[in-house]
Amino acid sequence: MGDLLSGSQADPSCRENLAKVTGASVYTFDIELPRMLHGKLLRSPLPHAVIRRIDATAALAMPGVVCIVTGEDARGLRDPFYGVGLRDQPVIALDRARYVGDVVAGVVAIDEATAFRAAQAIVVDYEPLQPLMTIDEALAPDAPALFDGKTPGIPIPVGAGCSSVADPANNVLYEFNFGYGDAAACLDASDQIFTDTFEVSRINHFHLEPHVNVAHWVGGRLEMWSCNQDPFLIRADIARIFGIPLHGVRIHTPLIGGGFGGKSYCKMEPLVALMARKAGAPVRLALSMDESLLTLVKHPGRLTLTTGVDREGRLTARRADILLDGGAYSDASALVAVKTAFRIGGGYRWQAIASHARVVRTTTVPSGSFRGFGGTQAAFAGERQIDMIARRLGEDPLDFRNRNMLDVGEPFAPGDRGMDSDLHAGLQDIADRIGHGAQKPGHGIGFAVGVKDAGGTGNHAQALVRVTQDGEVMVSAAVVDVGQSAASALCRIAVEALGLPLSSASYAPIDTDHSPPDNGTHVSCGTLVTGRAIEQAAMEARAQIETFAAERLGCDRSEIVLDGWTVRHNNVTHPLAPMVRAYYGGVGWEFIGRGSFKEPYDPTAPMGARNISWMPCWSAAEVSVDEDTGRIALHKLVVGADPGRALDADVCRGQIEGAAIQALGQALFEELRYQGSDPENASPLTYRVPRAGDLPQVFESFVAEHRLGIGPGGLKGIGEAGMLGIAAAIANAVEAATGASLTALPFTPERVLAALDARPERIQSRTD
Amino acid sequence: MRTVPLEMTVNGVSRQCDIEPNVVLADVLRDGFGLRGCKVACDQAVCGACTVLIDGRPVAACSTFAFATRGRSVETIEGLASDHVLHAVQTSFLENYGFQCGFCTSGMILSIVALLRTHSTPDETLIRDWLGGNICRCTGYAQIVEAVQLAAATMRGHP
Amino acid sequence: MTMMLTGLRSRKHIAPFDLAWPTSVEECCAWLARSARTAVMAGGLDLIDRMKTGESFDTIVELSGVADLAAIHDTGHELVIGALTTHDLVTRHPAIGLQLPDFARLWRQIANPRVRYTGTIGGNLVSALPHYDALPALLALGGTATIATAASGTQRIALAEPINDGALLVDLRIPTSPRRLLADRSLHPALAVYLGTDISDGRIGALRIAVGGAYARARSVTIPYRGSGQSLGGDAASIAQEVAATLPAPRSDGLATSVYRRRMIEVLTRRLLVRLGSEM
Repeated sequence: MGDLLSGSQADPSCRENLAKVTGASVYTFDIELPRMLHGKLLRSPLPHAVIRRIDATAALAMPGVVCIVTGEDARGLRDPFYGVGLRDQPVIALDRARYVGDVVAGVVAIDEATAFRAAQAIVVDYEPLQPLMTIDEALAPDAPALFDGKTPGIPIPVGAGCSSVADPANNVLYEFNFGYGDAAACLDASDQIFTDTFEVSRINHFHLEPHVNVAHWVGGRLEMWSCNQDPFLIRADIARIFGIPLHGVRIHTPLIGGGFGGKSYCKMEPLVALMARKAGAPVRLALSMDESLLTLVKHPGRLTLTTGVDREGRLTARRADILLDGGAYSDASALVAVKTAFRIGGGYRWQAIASHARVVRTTTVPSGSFRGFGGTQAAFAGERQIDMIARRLGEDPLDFRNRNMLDVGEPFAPGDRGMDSDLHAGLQDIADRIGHGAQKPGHGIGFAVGVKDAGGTGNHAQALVRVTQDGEVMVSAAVVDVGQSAASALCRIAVEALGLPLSSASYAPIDTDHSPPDNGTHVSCGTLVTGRAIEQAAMEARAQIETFAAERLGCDRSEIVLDGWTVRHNNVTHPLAPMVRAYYGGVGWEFIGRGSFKEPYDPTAPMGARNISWMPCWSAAEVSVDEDTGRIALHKLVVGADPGRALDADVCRGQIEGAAIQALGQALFEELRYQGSDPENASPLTYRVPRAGDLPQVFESFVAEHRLGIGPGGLKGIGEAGMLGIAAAIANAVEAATGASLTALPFTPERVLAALDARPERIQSRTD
Repeated sequence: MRTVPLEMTVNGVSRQCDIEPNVVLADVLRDGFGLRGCKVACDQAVCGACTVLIDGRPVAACSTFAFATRGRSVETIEGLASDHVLHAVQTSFLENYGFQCGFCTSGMILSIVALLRTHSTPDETLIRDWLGGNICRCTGYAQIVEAVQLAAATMRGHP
Repeated sequence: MTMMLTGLRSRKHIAPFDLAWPTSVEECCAWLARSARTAVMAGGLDLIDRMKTGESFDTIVELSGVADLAAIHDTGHELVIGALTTHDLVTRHPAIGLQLPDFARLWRQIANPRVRYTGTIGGNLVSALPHYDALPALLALGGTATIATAASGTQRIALAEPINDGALLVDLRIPTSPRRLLADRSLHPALAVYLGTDISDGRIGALRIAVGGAYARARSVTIPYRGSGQSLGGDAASIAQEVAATLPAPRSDGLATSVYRRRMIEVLTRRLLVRLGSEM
């Protein structure tokens, strides 16, 4: 097994994997162009300020400084704003800085050291304005408006039972309502109603490769290397921003060093393009990790759930009031609000839902897409409350869940696809694995079943599968490998349809000039949406091969069988390579199949399109709590998910566990904190993320293949599953162990101690 | 600023150059010697992505001045395989899928090589402690820990 | 003048400097006396980090060639630990293992092996970031330091005060008379408590409690005690109360509030005292 360096026989994942373990992988971080210049950014030290004047004279006079870009340059752009649906983030700050870290000026110089010194020499005259550091400050009646006028763009189009509104109130970017049935009436008729409020914290993606781009204009055409998951979205945005045709922009996406949603949609790309255009030379802009910490975060917020139960312990209706802190700029906030509100019912059966989400603008790091995308916030609140309700009713939380969970085929919401995982079976599985009922004294066990939609809303993808005369396969699509082994999965789908070995397939580099488009690598849609397109393309290529062979052999296509890179006819095997060469000549021919997939829009479905699949996550935690310090000891964590069909067991396991540990971090300690208006821990040393030592004593994952997805062979996605429910499972376990009720992330020892102190018997004993 | 003469070995090859004192090892490796397997992520000696071995010990190349390697031996990921044969740790990473995006992988593998050279039968506690110097945001670590155990077993079997 | 946030941290921002490679303590002191824009470098972790954010020096004095700063020896009544001793060496040096086994054992917990190979106990003490362990551990051990300057030669100093920029930390000295060092780092980095005491004839001497993480600079308090292990268990709660009351109010930050830290100082101190008592 040691001799693996003769790569030509290796399968595509093997080749790329080999590169990863030998240091040969090329990331955007590694891209270098001849005579490349270097960019550095000057960022606002104030959370909210008018930019009165920028004096770059001293900086420009420094030897080696090529140019400086400010809002004045951005004003000359056709449309200087970006964002998803609602576009309020300028390529670079125009007249105002809106958070500590907001980009105010960009320097291009011959090297980073010069650019840094020049950036330090830029003098900015700020007029401080009142900061709005929290949702409550931003919503206060006398709060200054963070933006003037209507937000450009359009609120996300949605479907039946939903409303989607931009700028509904001062410092509220967006409001989304989702509902069905008559929640008010159902709640009124309920036997009991429970109202609880939950708080979710702000975390950063902390992908190890920071945001980095290299941009170069040649003859009015932009070529860019970008570690961004959405090359076609970037292309479209840059074309719109600069007022140039789509084909005036070419985006390359090398291997990405982690994304988790932090490299989705526009980030630094338009700014780097602007810097490169002004410099008249290639420009590399690599953010430090500190800067990436100040670029995007996951939405923190507050969720208030009012949930009704009937006499038989069945859930009736839920009203959800969700306030998300969108930070200074929109980014993907509208989409996240839509998904948080939509997912608030979880995997349960309801008569009615009334879910209402607002995105509030604050002078903090912009919030945007993060693995789980609103589903994590919804799952924490929902799965925590389910447990709290069960306990108040004197019921076992497992029984309560089983009674109310959706069965296979039952719709998540009216007009949407039915549940395509067996939620009950998964719950039984996890209960067995955690050892339900057998925990040690002083230990508590908690469960959570998180469910989110997956596959996206009306997503589309196209694909090409090219087969050479020798049976080598090139798979071309726009799915970006962010570590989820997308390339390998798509190659597998292609070769399965062609009946060829995996070692024959490669995944083409992503280049918007050559790759067929999609609408982004997110929402775990890669194998599901693009996989369908690949399958179709491979089948079409196969049809071409079979037709060609039939014509050469003078028979009907139905009489031949494709078998590896040969065809069999009347028990005679004919190798294809010579057949192709004989007809097409020395250079040969490629069989090129096209495929596409588009989930149609459907106005009767709440999201405006039926959801392609459902992504459940079953998690269970066993904890004990030090009642004097509040410290949680996590003895065992079990997490499981259902990818429909697992193309690669190791990959699925990696996705589940990686997400689960990210969620564990947020649950116990990870948080990007502000002290007053300053970021308190926006540096790698102080922003604590999980390390190997943070693993629970026992950590187990499982992949349950229910094979009910609509992808090839029952396949669906799995990338985000592990995020859902971990925090709730831990909090539920803490309540089981101690009776202390946790409703806010993270569960620091101090917070846990406060919850312990708040228990009725503890208050009693302290006053004795 | 005066340059300083630097003489050291990199992956067994003797190297000489004049370098400026304020240049860190990661940049000399990447830009000077074209060894780009060493990635710089946090640039604060926290994440360990830039880990290389100096005289067999793991160090953060982003936070080590190049001049500090004078007279010493540096090992990078590119030097690990020998004669087209992968190191046991590289093989175990492939077999047990000890990576996803791969950005932390060079540093992670070298860190583990250093561990296994000093402890041939590390228990899980030691492995987790040792890996405290290497952050991975993708895998959740369990598959990496298993890869270490697999590599340790392989290395014990082939003295 | 508000600080501009410029490109933040980067190894590319390290300003040029000249390098000095002295071989003696005197040479180092001479360099430090020459200009305030001189810094000494041990493992370099903290210094390089400061330089990455823009702090600059004309001369960096590389200490690795100064043998006197790395020596570890037992004078008969004191263990002398050179400032350049790496954390790794603290965990496995025979003299430290023999005289201060608690210290060696505790030091295996700090940071991670990669950092322990490079970081030095002297560097850790001089930087004394709030959550760093050297200062509180040495306070609990009853240690002192030797510093040197060109003007005043070598001097012994107590550890409570920060070490002046212009002085060179030469070594740390810990009495070799029998002593214990226990620590509770379960709430690190928000808070860590270190308990040290001298032991003579099976009896406990003064109790030295040091607290890290809770203050801008670690604090300690010494509680006189004349008792045995058995009595310590019973007195633990009241001593812990006294400790928490004597120490200044801890700070509040995003990791923990002052109230919680104060409460935990008492809890962790009590636990350490009980543990010490049971081990006597």
